[in-house]
Amino acid sequence: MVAGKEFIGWRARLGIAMLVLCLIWLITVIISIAFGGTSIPATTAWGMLLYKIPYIGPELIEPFWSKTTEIILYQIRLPRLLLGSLVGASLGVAGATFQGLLRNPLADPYTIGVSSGAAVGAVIAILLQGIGQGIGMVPIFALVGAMLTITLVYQLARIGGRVAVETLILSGVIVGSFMTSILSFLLTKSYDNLQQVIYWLMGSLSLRSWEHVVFSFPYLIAGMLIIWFFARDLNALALGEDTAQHLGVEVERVKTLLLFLASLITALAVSVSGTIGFVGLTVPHVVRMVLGPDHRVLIPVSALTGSIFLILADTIARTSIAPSELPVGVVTAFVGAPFFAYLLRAKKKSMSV
Amino acid sequence: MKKYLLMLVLILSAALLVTACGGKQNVQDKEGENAGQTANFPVTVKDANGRDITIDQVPQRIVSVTPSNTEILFALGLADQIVGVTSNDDYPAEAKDKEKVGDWNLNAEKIVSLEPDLVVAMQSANGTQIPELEKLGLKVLTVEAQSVEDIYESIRTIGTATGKTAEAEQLISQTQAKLQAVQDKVAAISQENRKRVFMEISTQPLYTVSKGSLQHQILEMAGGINVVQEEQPWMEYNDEAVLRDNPDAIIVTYPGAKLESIAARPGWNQIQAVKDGKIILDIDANILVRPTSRVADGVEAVARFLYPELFQ
Repeated sequence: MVAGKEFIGWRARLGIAMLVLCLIWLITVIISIAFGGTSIPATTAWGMLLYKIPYIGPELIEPFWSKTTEIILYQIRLPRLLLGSLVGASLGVAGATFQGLLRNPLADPYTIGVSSGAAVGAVIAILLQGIGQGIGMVPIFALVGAMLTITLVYQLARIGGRVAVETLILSGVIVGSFMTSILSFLLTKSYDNLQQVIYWLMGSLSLRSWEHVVFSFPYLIAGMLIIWFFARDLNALALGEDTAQHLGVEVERVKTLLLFLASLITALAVSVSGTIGFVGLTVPHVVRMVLGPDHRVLIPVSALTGSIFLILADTIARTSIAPSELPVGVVTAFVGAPFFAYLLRAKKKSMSV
Repeated sequence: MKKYLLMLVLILSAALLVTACGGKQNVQDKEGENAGQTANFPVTVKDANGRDITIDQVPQRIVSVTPSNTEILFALGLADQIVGVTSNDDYPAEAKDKEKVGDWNLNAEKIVSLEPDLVVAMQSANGTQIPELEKLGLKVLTVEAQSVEDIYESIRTIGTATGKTAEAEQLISQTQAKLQAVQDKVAAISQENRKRVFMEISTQPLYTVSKGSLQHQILEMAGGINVVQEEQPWMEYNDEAVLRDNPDAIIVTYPGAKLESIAARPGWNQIQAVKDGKIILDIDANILVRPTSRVADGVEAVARFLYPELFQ
């Protein structure tokens, strides 16, 4: 496998990987749609899924399900599944971008402080507009929080007009902790809504509707596509900023733009789902281990892998302790951390041989 | 935000009070015509956010998503109509036998699958979830209460929405009578003999209650004086400030508290309540916290603790 990737071109690698992953994604969706807080027979769920295929669906299947089942599947499970898919993809791409940009395997929306910044903005918006007023100002505040954080981190790391990568991570950790302290402060000020806000912070996809999907879809997809468009520049940046400069990359400009975009998709993901950790950190690593570090492959494959990972994690979250449910962030960390540890060990061994 | 919310609730309840007083005559007239229950539907009630909620028919399948509302619904005699509650709902005991729709975090699928014609929620407990439930086509009635007056309004609102107006008025007057009985007892205590109370609702961090909370009102109705008089319903409190306040009595509402560990806190052995052992740990927190008709039991329990001599 490792030897293989040297010989196969990036287009072929991307093509094969995407094909395989699309299949896995489809299977994940088909399995996950059959599970939920209530039991709907898998055949009914699949029939209903089939029914929604444009043109051919209604030809194939006569609706045989109740109105209630229809609401559960079309208005609860399906949007939740798609939202999980979108958020997972965004976090995967944001993680890959931060890691590539900062040339640091520990970079992800969390470690760089952007998630916490977005969360501070989101919580301020929630407290300002009152609990339960829908999306409202949350994404805008989350975006402002994320941008403020990344700017702060960036400025802090900027020494003599240059941004050193090591300092960037360090200042990310510093600003991130600062943001977390603001969060804690805000929480003590909202005692009567504490439970709801904390639960939201832990990351959850429960009780999200089509509104959330429709709202975040265009921005997230556009953000991810533009990042992919800059994959070659990311590759060049991986060789070092000086080399990239020599290769004709407008380093500072590209860096600023990509930091902005990665923060944007993080902020949007946070505003619809709270802070879900470990997707952005783990997913790009797994992909890189299998397919190599080429960002032209890494970015889209991370998107699909993140998507699959989060759908599966959310399925565990909503079925494991039904009728109650776990915050999905708990599941991603619980599953992600040991898996990540295993990968690190495995990689270390194979490298030392 | 909190002050704003509180003000909103106060204005709303004031508005409701006015309309309720004006409307009572009508309700009674209609009751006269048609022995009570179904005649008034469809009915329109104002929810905690000031919105008009219209209920077309007498609800037959009710899901309650907060313990307090479950208590009120049962007290109004709707045991048969309740089809779903949360796993936190433990009163009355029959509530435990109902289908569960989650805990603080609601399971929308489960709720929808029960096909309720009314979901009764509470703004401060379910706020984020209510709009999402409404989007699924559910009829949600939201109430909110942080005072005894609010509780009456909640009972009245829920009663009207479920066709139990007479039962609601009865429940309210029972509660009023019970409260009055306690207040009559403690009325004789002179101002200087009133116990100064500290209520501890959480330790690490140390949290207490103050103006604007139901618990503050309960303390006052029971003839006590809250040592904390801040314009904030719940707040983190400094343990040095408790030493300074030197309360005569301490009420601890969270489970698992130990007398020894409270007495062992640095300097707390100087506090009058600790010296006298006037600390209560086993009070049923639910009657102090849940805004239901059982608030009268809460007031009585506190009064009994503060002035046992009056209840012999």
